Amino acid sequence: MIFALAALLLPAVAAWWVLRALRLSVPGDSRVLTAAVAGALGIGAASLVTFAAVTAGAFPGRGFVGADAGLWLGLWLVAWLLTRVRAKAAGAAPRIGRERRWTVADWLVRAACVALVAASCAVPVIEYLRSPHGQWDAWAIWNQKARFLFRAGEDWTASMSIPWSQPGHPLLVSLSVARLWAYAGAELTAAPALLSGLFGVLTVAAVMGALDVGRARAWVAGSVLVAPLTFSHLAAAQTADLPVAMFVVTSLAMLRQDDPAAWRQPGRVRSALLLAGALGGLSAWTKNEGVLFVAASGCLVAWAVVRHGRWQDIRWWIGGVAPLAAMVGYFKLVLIPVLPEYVAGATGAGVMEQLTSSGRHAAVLGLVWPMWLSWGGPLARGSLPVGMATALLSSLTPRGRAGRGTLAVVAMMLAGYYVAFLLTTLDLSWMVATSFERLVMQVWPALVMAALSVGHTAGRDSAPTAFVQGDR
Amino acid sequence: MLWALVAAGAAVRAALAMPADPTGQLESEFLPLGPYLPPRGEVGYLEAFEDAGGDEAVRTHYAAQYALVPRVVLARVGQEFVIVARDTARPGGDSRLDGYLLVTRAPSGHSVYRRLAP
Repeated sequence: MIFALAALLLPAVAAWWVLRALRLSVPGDSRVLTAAVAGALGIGAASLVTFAAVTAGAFPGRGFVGADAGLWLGLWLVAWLLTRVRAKAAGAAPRIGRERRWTVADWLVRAACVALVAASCAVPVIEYLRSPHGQWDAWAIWNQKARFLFRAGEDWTASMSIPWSQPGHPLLVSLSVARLWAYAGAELTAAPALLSGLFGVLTVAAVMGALDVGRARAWVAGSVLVAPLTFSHLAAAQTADLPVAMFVVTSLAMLRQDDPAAWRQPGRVRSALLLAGALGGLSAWTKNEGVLFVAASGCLVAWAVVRHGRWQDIRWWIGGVAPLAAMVGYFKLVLIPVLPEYVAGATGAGVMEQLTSSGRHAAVLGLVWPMWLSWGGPLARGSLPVGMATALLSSLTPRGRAGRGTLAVVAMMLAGYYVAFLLTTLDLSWMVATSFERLVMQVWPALVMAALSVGHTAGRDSAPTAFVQGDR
Repeated sequence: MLWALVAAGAAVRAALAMPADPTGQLESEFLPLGPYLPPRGEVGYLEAFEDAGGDEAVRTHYAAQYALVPRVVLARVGQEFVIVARDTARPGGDSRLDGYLLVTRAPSGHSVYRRLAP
């Protein structure tokens, strides 16, 4: 298990130093958000390296583990040396601290959040003890594919002949699990459980870091995010919905525009768009819904660069997303060219009929409405309508403008899910009942981030702890 | 914040009330069949003679697949090797297994059959 932990840490730490070496900063220069982004990029990059090793027939085995560990350690060392050299060349820059005086209310909010997170951590532990193989989809889809990768190596493609195991979903989660097993030398159930919990931690870190952990609202956001059973349940699930949520919210955190002045700084624009593109691309490498996110966030980026009259900046976002999009395209069009089961067999005439049928709309709304009201689990009923209403109302205020882009992307994704429900060729009741909770979780962290973005001006608030190029 | 605390407490309580998942048990029941099956490739799986689409029948089939990776466990007969899960064959003789010979039966009741002629 120690080796599995090392497998998680190595690419994350390497990614942290690469971000520093390349002077890629996150909005607000939050260390917490930077750690979340480094963790997300580390997991994503490691999955791509593993995929290359599998394709080359070099997975698993000690040779893979040695080469993989060497790669991340080498990258870490090079990035660290580059950072040191640049820091010396730039000279020591003073770090300016920000004096904060916490009120009793501040302390109470933080204490309550810590208690909440502790309680939420208990849920995955309890669920792991009862379901060590994870929820149904975990062992029927994600961990099963990981077993194919781990046990069969390059012959893992045999799994594509199992239609109920969703062969068309991309491989980030399964590759990550198989990689942890390769490091551990055995198929430990704790490895996917640990990875699943880490996705939950990174999600919380991304939301709180984006909202500035120095402010009470970040702690409120963390509390609201983890309170519903649905969140902690999916942190225990070992499935791919929380990973998608994590990539979605980290990508959107890069695109938040708290401080309009940030968009006039080329370095910050480059960082924000490049990282947002890469993280969005990783969401598409995680699950089909990530493709929808790439399309939605692409619309947001296009609108933002046009609005600021700097359309050429979009190249940075494309530069981040393109390699991942190419990988997903290769996977879905060449390697596993199968349609998702929920739209398989759909015809053009049938699609038009379902899109325009008032009865179909009524059926979808009739099924979704009660689940929309009750989403979240015990005593969290109503959290989704309240969260959506709060995000919408706050985004309509001048001080809530930072959440508008995030909310627009969330709205586009929810609209996409609605269309998928309209078009599905599967039994609609079953489709909605088995997917609504998970689909909403994919946007829940972003929704919470949008709802609590009111009055948050990262650029101005963070000014005292100014970003020091190359020395942070 | 108060709501969040209460909801988190309810989440812990709900987690404690969840029943244990039977997948691990099912997996351990199918693992002894592995040595009697080819190491890779497709093997058949006899669907339950009644309520083949029920949750329990589906779970058992999926668990067999999960346990026996990298083999592909297809829900049909016709392959050289066929897995017959406990209580899935029709009592008193199942015509779907005509031409197959019992290879082994695990203590759990799950069996492997092999076709007599190619």
